[in-house]
Parts: sequence; C-alpha cells; structure tokens
Amino acid sequence: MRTVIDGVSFAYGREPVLSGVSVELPEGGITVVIGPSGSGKSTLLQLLAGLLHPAEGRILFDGEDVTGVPTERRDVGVVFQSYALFPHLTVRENIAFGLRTGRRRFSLRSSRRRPSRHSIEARVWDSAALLGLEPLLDRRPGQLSGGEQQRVAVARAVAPRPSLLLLDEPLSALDARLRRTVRSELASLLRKLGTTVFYVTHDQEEAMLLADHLVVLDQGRVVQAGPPLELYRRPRTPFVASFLGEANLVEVTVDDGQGQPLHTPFGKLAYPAGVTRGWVLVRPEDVTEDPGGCCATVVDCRGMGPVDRVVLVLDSGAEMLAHFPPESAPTPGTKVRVGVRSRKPHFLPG
Amino acid sequence: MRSGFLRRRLFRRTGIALTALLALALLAPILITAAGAFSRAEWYGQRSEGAEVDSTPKLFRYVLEVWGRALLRSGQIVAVVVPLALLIGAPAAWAFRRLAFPGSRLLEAAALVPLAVPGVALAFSMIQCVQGVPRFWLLAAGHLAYTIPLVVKTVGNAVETFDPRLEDAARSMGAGRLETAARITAPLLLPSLILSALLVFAVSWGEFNVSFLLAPPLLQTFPAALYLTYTTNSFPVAAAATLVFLAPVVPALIAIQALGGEEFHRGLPA
Repeated sequence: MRTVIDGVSFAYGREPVLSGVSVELPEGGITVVIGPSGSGKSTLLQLLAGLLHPAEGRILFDGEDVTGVPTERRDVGVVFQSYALFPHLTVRENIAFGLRTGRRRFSLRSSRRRPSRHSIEARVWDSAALLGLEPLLDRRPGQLSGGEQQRVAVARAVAPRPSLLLLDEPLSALDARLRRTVRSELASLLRKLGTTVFYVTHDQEEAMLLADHLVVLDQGRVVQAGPPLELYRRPRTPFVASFLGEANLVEVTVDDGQGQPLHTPFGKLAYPAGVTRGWVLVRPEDVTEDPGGCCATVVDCRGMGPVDRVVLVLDSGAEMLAHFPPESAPTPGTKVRVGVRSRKPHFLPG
Repeated sequence: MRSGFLRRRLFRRTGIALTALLALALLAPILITAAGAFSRAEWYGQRSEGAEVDSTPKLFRYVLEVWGRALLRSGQIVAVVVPLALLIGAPAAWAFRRLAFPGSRLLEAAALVPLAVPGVALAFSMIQCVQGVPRFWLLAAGHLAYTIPLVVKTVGNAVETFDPRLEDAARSMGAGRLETAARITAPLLLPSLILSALLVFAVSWGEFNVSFLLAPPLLQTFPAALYLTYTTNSFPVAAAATLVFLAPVVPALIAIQALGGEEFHRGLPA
C-alpha cells in the first residue's frame, strides 16, 4: 500500500515528541525507522496504526486521508514490543482473532463478508505454518518461550493479510543469540510476504539487514532518509554517521573557502565550495596498513573474530579506530603506517 | 543460635494465640446466636409469638412465615443492586484508569466518598433531594451509593494488572471498542468482576442504616426487620432469624476469601 506520512507533529501535553515528520514508505518494501530512545519512533508507529492521532499533518493510505480514522478501520497489522498476546486465548484463537472481528477495511478492495469457519481455519494454518507454529496451536501464551511468543505475535499480525504491517522493536525482548537467528528468519519472511512494512528499531545491525528505506529519527525530527548503505557511506550529520556504525570523524577547517582540494592525513579531499568547516568520515574498515601512508602508534588491539579492532593515535594527535584483517594483531606500542582504502573519504559540512 | 530459635518459637506461638483469640472474638456472637436458635423449647414462649412455637423446626417455620416478606424484599434489592453496581462501577473503574482524562483520579476518589458518609446523612439527603421516585428504587440507589465504590476499587486494581497493549492489539485487528471490551477486557477482568459481585452482595444483603430509614415500615429489608425482631421478640426467635439471614452470606464470604487467594490469580498476566 502506498503510505505517506506528511508533515506530522505530535506532543504529549507540552512535551513535543514529533515535529514536522514526513516519510514516504516504498510500496511493498521495508521501511526501517531507527533512532535513540525518546526520538519518537514508537510514537510515529502508533500514529500510523491509528492508536494516536497527530496534532498536525496528514497520513495517507493509497492517497486517501486516514488521519482521523480509528485503528479498527485501518487495514494494518501490528507486532508490539511486548507482543501483547491474549493470555486467556490459545495460540490458535490468538491468530484467528483478527479473522473473526467485524473489521471494516478502510480500503474496500477485499470483500466485506466475514470469512467462513473453514477459511478461517485454513488461514490460521497458513500463518502458523509460515512461522513453524503448528505444534503449538493449542497452547496458551503463558506456556511459550520468548521466541515462540514472538513468532505468535508475527503470525497473528499477518494472518488477516493487512496492507501495512507495523513492527515495534519486535526483537528487543529476545536474548542476543536468539535475536540473531530470529532476525534473519524475520527478514526473509517479510520479503516473502511482500507487504509494505514499517519497522521500528534502535539496533543498527537490524536496520542495515532489513531496510530497503532507512529513516534516522532524532529528537522528533527526520535527520536523514534513504537507502541504508547510502546513509552509512554518506551521512549528512555526525549523529547519523556514529549512530549507524563506528565512525572516525576528523574535524577540519578550511581557510580559503575557494573549493580547493583539502589535504587531510588520508590524502586530497574534494569539498563543496563555500563550506569552511566540517568533518571527514572514515569508517574503521576503510583504514588499512599502507607503507606510503601516515605514521601512527598502536594503542590497543582486540581480536573480535571477524576483524581485529585496533585503536591508533596518528602523529597529528588524532585518535583513530581501525578494523584490520583477523590475526594481523599489531602489538600495542608499535608504529604502523596507515592509509585509507581507495574509496573517497566522505566530507560532512559543518 | 539457640536463643534465636527460642525467640522465633515464642513469636510464632504468640502469633497463633492472638489469631485464635481474634477469631474467637469474631465468631463468638455467631456461636451464641446459633446456640440460642437451637436451645431447648422451655426457653421460648414468654413473648408475642405465643405458646405454639415450642420446637426448633416450628421456630424456623415461624421465622420464615413472619419475615418472609422482608426476606423477599432483601432478595429483590440484591437482585437489582448487584448487576447495576457492576454495570455502572466496572466501566467507570476502567475509564478512571485507562482513559486518564484530566481529573480522573479526583473523580475516582470522589466515587469513594459515600463509604465515609454516615448512612443516616445519606438517607435523609436522598429523601430531601429526590421526590416522586418509588421507595424501592430510592432504596436501591442508597445501596448503590455504598456498593459502587467497592466495584470501582476492586476492578480498578485489576485493570492496572494487565497490559493496555492487549486492547490496542485487539483494535488493530479490527475489533471495535465494544467488541474489544467483550472479547478481551471482560474475560481478563472476570476474577475481579466475580469478586466485586460477591462483595456487593454481602454488603447490600447486610445493609441496615440506609434501608432502615429509606424503606417504609411495611417494606423493610431483612436486616431492618431483624432489628425489630431483637426489640420485640424473644432471643431464640431473633437468633433463628439471624441464622436465616446469615445462610447466604457465609458461602459468599468463603468464596470471597477463596477468590482473594493466590490460586485464583495464577495464570493471569502479571
């Protein structure tokens, strides 16, 4: 479903939570909203769900204004952070709940008739099978593990085949090991469904793995939005740069403002004319050992498995984080020469 | 080590003794009443009921015959008050806690005020304010004033124990407010609804102050009639009437105690 959030503002009492947020969700794609706690990302999800209503701005589903339409008449499915499974109903009844309600879909593409008992049973089975829940159908939520509850929450939300699926930090209640496996399962499931998805998280890895369109939210405003790798490589602010991964940000001042290439410890760098201050972003994985590079002292080195995490101090005094290939392990105290991989360092205007 | 053990044992024994004493003090009137009701036939007969009431079965038959109307009236009041108190109190409790509109807490506190107002004051103010309402409904209103606070408190606390997201989830799946209330909220509040129904029953059945003042003399509820019994009849007759009155209350009190226990709340969301 074509979904547009258009200049939406929201406040709890006098505390502004969202100010003038606009997001366009790619149809059939996964939009991930990432931000620190208190950035307003969950509030944005609740506005889309219709659980809250904005003070300003509009929400459009397929071009129709649904801003004042209550939750039960929006064609959405929600996976809550706490899962919100009905404790007095079995897994089967939980999944069937949305198939039996008097839902009057806002868009009338689907039929208004309630599905028959037989087709409800078939749909429950489909959703349960999609998430491997068949053996658990007669259990109650209290008898399930955290991972199983999470899968029931997803199955329940997708069973009525909503046009927009909303997920509010669906993995945050799982432990780290489980989160990794569930995360990739969820990613492939969401792609298979092909529904328009709005996914809220504060986890950078989750965001990079899932997003077709990534929106970074800070203090109730959209800081930057675009393809995830674009945001990772070319962030517009230091906040985006460091929120999406480890970042070396070197503050630079340009005196002449003439648009001449700037000399940095990593070579020449083009920058837009008229800009006099800014930062140079170098990702740790772009720092390499280079005999022709600049001199640095190894301060600390830790093998992380896939990479060695090395802290360096350049001769200019700047501290720098580098990811070296595993087991290259330079000893702390030794001198190395480092350069930046051929990719151009990114310049953030200040 | 040893003195600690002794001290603990002393505490334990003192506790048991105190509890037993309290239980005895609370039960004594009931035991004495029961003894009175089942006492020997020679004890009764000096008063208005006459000589024909000379055995325990005859005593109870006499009680039911004379106070049958009052018993019926009490039954009617309870039958009206219990459902009405729940129908008004439970949604109000939900609204106070869930909607959290400005002043909702103050309003909830205000709903408890009748509990602290003497029945005499409440009854007279009701007679003053409300004209032309049948006495039966005036009496029911008096009982509601004393019982709705109990529902608001009991159900309100239960509302706090479950995640409001459950209601949001139901609505996001297409259930309207009423459907959500019927399929999610009410089943989850069922224990507290049963508990408050029993409390309302026990309070309404035993209510004396308001009933005595609001009901016309010929339409007294049972507790009011009981008062007259103690002033005009012999003790065994009054004692027998008291036992008839207690018969439905004791099972209700036992049920309240059982429902309040941990057993009942296990398996419900924390």
